[in-house]
Amino acid sequence: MSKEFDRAGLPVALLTAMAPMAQMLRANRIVLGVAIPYPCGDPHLPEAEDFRLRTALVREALKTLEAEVPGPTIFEPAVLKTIPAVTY
Amino acid sequence: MEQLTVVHYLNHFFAGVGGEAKADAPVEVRRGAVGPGVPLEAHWKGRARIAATVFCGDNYYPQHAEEVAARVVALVREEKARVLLAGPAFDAGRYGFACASVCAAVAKELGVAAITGMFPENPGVEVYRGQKPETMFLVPTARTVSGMAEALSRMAALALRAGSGTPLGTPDEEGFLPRGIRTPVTVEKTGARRAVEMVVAKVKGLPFRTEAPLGSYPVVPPAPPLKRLAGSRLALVTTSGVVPKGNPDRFKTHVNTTWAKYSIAGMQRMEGGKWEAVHGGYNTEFMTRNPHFGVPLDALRELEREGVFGSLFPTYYVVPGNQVQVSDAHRMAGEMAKEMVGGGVEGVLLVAT
Repeated sequence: MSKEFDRAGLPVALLTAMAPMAQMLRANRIVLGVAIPYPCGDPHLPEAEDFRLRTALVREALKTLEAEVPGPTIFEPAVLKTIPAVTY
Repeated sequence: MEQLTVVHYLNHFFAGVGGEAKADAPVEVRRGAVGPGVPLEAHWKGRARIAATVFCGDNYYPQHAEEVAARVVALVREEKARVLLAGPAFDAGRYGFACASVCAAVAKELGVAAITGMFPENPGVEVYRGQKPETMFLVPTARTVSGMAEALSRMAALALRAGSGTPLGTPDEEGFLPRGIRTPVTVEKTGARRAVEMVVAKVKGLPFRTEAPLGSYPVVPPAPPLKRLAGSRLALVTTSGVVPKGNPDRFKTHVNTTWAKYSIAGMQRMEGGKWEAVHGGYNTEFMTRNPHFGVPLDALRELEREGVFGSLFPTYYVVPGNQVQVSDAHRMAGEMAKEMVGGGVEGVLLVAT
C-alpha cells in the first residue's frame, strides 16, 4: 500500500513491527514499531508512559517524512530501547 | 538406499501449541514429526524421516528472527540433516515470511536443501526471490489449508530429489517457483525464432510462455521528502482494522477488498468502548481495548498542538490488512491516495499490524 502513496507523490512513513517484511516488499520509509498486535504503544506500560512512548514513536515516524531516502530504509526509533522486556 | 534425515520447521499453530493467544510462544524443539510432519513422513515410505521439529509463535519470529534462524541452523547441523522443510504456510504472511527466512539461512550457511511451501502471493515469496541460495526451493501451494495434501505431496517429492543430490530439472519439472537463477541449456530454435513464434501466438490468441516473466513486486521510488513537516497536512491510514464499534461497514476478518474512512474531526482521542478491531491475523484484544495502538490519535493531536506538523486530515482510512491480495492492496491505496491528494494531503502515516 505504501508504494501507491509514494507513486502519488505522498511521502509515507510505514510504522510496523514487521520492518524486515516491509523492506522485502519495498516500502521506502519504514519505522520499527513495538509489536505486531500493538505497533504504537505498549499495553504493559501505565497509561501515561504508554502515551509518552506513542508520542515519541509517532514523532520519529513523522520526521522520516522530511528525510531523503535512496530506497527501502528502516528507521529504529531510539525510544524502543527504553521499553522494559516483557516475559511471558 | 540411505535414509534421508529431515528437520521440519512449523509455527505454533501447526505444531498444536494453540491459536493467536499463543503467537508469542518462543522457539521449541520436539523429537520426530509433529502436525503436518506426520502425513509428510508417510509420503516417504521409509526413504526419509523427520528427526526433529522446531517451531515458534508467529509474533515471536519477527522480533527474534536471528535467534530463531540460528537455532534452526544449529539443529540441522546437530542432526546432520540433509533437508530442512518449512511449512507449508499457504497465505499466512507471518508464517510464510518465517519459513522463507529460516530456509534461506539454512541453505546459505549449510548448503543443504531447504524447502518451503506457500501461496505464490505470500510475502515470504519475496524473501525467496531476494535470497536465491541455490539449495533453497519454494513450492507453490493453494491459498488455504484445504490444499494441504497436495502441498505435502509436492514438498515430499522435491525433498527426496533435492536431499539425495539428484541433479534437478527446471522449476516447472520439479514443481518449485522460479527464482531467477539462469542455467545455460541447448535448444533447437534460436532466440529470434522463439520470440517471433511467441508474438504470432499472442496475436492469434494462442497460449505461449514467456522466457522472461516480470516480477510481481514493482519497485516504486520514494516520494520526495516534505520540505517542511511543520506546515504539512497529513493523513492517517491503518491496516489494524480499528473501526467504530459494531463494524458498520461489515469488514471481514480477512481478504477484504474494500476500505473505509471514519471521521476524527475535532476528536482528541479514541474513546474506549466506541471502537473495535476487526482483523483475523493478530490477537485484537489489546487493540480493541486501546485503539491508539493502531490509530495513534492522542499522539498526533499532541504533535499537532506542538506544531511538529501542520494539520491532520479529518478522516482516517482503514482496511483490515489480513490476507489482502497484493493487487487489491495496490488498488485500494491508489484510491485513497487520489482522494487525499484532492483534499490537500501532503504526507501519510501508515500504521500496519
